[in-house]
Amino acid sequence: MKKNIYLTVIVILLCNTGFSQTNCGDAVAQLQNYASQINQFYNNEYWTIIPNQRCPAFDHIGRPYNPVLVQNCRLQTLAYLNNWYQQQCNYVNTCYATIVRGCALQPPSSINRPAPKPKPGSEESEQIDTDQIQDLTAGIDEDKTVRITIPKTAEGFKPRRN
Amino acid sequence: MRKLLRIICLIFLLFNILNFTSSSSSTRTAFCGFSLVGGKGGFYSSPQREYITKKAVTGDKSGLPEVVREIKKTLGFNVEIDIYIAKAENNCFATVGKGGARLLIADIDFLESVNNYAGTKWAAISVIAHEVGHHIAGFNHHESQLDDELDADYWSGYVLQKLGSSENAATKCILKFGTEQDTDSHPNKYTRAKTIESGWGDAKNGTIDYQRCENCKP
Repeated sequence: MKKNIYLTVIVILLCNTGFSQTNCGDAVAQLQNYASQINQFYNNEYWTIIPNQRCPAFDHIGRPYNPVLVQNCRLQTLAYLNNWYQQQCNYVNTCYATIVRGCALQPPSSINRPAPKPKPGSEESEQIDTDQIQDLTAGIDEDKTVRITIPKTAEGFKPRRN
Repeated sequence: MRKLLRIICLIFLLFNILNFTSSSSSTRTAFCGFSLVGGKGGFYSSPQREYITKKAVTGDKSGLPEVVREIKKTLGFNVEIDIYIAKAENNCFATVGKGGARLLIADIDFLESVNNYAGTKWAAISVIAHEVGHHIAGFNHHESQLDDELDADYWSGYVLQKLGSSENAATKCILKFGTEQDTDSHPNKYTRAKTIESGWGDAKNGTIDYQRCENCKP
């Protein structure tokens, strides 16, 4: 119980939008719903609102506006939209990482989604690198990416195929 | 053990959310399309939203700043290019940002897959060189965007020869992933390969086609 309260306080403080979750599953679902709304809003603005309403190419009786002005308007508005979207992405990712950290403190009974069962005799789950888990829960797995380098031979190496 | 299983479950959910937030863009430039700049279609002639995670810096795990620095050094192109790492974009592109900042945005996983499928590590370098080539050649040097792309291809071939690539390796990426026919934004892969070979050949012969560059002087 104490852990649940602790988790709720952390998530509300850090997420700052009142994901009033009672358990991890609900919190994640609310965040997914929020992300869905962000994406919907973005696409609506991108494809409909900006080109047709904020920066239309024609006036109400069908006369064209100056194309340069229209384009400038659209690019500027798009820049604002992209900036906003980036902030939202950062927020969602940060919030999710917060929830994940908080959920790790919860008793297993409060997780709605069942964890996958390991195959009989499998030691797979014992071999998980906890350093990698830290990277993933940070929201970005950039540290796991490969390093791009200039080859030392004229043909380049022949990498293994996926 | 139970804690680990819970974490696995949550990681799975994390990926769902990351994918969700980063996949809303409706259309993307095709694989090996390289540049989104100067698109003539749609409502905007600028790149769509891209999911950028961080700025690449010298010494980080991407290796990109070192590669770009080597390319610029090879070309004597002493202009600052800011490099950003994108995730889940399957793209690499060049553009000009606020205040005229020259930008190069790359998805490292994408570049790795380019290497793997092209069968040479020069493939990713050719993509990056192509993008740097856009900054050299200029984004609206020609009336046709296709010609702008060919300029960038020329510099890609030029750079790869200087860096030690074979002619065959320099064209592998485009021949693997390019299109059979011209598209609205890019020429067909055969024309592009020929242009890369032209740049590669000029580098080998110690000549430069200055018409491939907006502000270059002989």
